[in-house]
Amino acid sequence: MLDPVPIPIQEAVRDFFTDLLGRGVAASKRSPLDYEDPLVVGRYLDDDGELAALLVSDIAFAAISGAALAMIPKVVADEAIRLGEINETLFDNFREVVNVFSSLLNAPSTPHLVLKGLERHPEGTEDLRDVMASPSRQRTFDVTIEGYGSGCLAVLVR
Amino acid sequence: MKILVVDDSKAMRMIVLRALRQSGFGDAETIEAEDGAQALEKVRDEQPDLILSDWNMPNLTGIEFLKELRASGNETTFGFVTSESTPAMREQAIAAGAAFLIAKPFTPDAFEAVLSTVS
Repeated sequence: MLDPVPIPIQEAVRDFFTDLLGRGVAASKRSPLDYEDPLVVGRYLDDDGELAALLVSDIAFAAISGAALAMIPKVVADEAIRLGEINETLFDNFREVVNVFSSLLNAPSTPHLVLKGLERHPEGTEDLRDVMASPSRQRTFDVTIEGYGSGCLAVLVR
Repeated sequence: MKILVVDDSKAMRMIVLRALRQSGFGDAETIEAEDGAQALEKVRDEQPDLILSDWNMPNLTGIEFLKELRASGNETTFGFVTSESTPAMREQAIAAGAAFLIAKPFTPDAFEAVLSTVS
């Protein structure tokens, strides 16, 4: 019998992004995101192909982390936040962020999760809507990246 | 020294290249490939001294790339830099001929510690 999918605490989120981005990061818990706002959603599936967890990000966090990953100037992320839409480069970079983030959702005794898709403003399939409406567990974080600003991300487990 | 960096993410290749510079490999010549198939061609054309490869990639995955490399008789030092690093994957990597596996995300210190054992 496998253990439940782990959800990282804020210190783990802080350390993860500090290592990944090579710059100072602060993370703190916050109330859940407003899912009516523009979002970017990554889906993690288990080995049976079932949706097991979601990473839900506001546009701000997708933009600043996608920019910081490749040291793209902050102004590019700021423009994305102003428009409420991230460009292809930031989106591709954020996909890599979400892909590597899967390391926080895997442990030897838990289901093996892999990223299988990242969507902007997803209309939502039934399973995605179910998880977003009533996850079994979730944590939401405010994350500040040195030199880029702040955004929010949430981890939702089915 | 010539180092081949293989990853389908351009941003991640950039991060690996930055980590190489921070780990004392700033003088190394670096070349890049986007997947295992392209990497095989680069190995043939460029004959690198060290290969750092992602695992999950389109066309030819990192482990398939490594197996083809070894099957062709090429013994270039090979390490994985990957977001997945289960014990089973580490075993598979070593059995196929990899020298090490670095888990993403990594710190420059961790990167340097591993590379110092093979350089």
